[in-house]
Amino acid sequence: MDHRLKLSRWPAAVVAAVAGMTVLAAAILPGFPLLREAAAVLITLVSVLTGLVVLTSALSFMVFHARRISVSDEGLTRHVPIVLGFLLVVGVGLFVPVSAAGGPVLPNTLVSLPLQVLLEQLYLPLAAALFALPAFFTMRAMIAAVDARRPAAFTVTLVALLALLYPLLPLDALPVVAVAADWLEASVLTAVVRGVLLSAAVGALVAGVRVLLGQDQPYAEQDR
Amino acid sequence: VEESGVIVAIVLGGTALLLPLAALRARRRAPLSRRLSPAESVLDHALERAAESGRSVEVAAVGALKDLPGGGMRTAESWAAAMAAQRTAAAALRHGVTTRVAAGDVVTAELVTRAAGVADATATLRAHGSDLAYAAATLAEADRLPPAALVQVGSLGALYPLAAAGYTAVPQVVLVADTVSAAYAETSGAAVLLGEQMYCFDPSLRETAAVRARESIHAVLRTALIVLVIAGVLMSAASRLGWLQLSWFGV
Repeated sequence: MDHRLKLSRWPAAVVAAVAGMTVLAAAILPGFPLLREAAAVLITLVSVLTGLVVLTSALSFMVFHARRISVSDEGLTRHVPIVLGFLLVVGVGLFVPVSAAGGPVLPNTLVSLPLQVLLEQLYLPLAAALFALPAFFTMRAMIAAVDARRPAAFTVTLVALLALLYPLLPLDALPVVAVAADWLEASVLTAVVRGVLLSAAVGALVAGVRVLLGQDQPYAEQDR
Repeated sequence: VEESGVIVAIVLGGTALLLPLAALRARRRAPLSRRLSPAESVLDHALERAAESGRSVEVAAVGALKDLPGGGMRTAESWAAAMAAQRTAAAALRHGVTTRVAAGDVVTAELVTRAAGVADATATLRAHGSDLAYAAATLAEADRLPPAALVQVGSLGALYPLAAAGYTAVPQVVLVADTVSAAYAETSGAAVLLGEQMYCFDPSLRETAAVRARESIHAVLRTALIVLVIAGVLMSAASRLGWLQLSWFGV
């Protein structure tokens, strides 16, 4: 893949650069109302487009699974629950009335009471069960890591175990340990977390500038 | 003009100036064969094996859209996913291996599908804006269609083990911006690229001035950050021991 812009990719690169620069300039120069308005229009346009993409994808998803019910061997076990779940969430979220001052009205938000009740009764118990699973998977991965003697994985496991055991053991009585643990948490741990955040931000900065300059074009369709 | 705006302009302007300068410098240098990093080598070896097994490589992106506030680096991770998909697809093409993509929201799905240049039929939308649904769907997919290698982009925090549990026998490269996912990924034996390394992942073995420029800029900024973090820790230690007064620096 050549990094030089192909003729067919110029329009996408120009649109990306102009839109990006406009929003960026509006953020840097808040005193220019024209820039601010242009950026607001662009952001609104993106929001509307995102909404349309979500709507189209939801419809496409629904049609795909509805069609697969009759033609797939897994129709009843895989596709019917998906379609029913989809219809239930959309139906309750859009068509179950909520009480208002002037009488019952259809909900105009996705956090309406009927939908909240449905999620609390149906989704949250399932979600809680799934949230418990990673603990077992992590334990299995840790045992496998120790068994395979991978240095990095072994170190992570050891540090995690020490962090787990530290509050349970009376180590605070030893003056050096308490001060060292405090310093590790307040300085080293904070520095590492901030370092990772800064590093990700720096990476995003370089990637963003390269996209604005057209040197990287992750938005452009590649040749199939 | 606000003070923060000036700082942003200086940082962005500086980076924008550095990039063409680094590209010019890279163009003048004699050509050298680019070496793959350990994480890129993991994928390269998996692609060599996949050329014989006929299985495809998968790029899975958690996605930018989230139903909760405070998405953090999610948008940046979506861009990283698109770039990783583009470069992984190029590397897979070199080995005659097909690529498939999966995503955790519709916009990222469209972005990575286009970037990888794969047919829409090989793109899977696993969820929309829900980490839990995405992780559960990824786990469910593992048994149905095991890939030859998995490039997982995006932070899942404590849910990472759920998404990765089905892929213990699959070579994995994990690109993340959070330490929790990185620790879990490291434990499960995946090759981890953390922070700005996400944007450097390029197993395609391209050797152009633009690639060199990108790598040299990343190397300079990475070194500066490491020096900054180590200096900060040393200053903190010296301050606690009373050898240094932070008030000397106006803190």
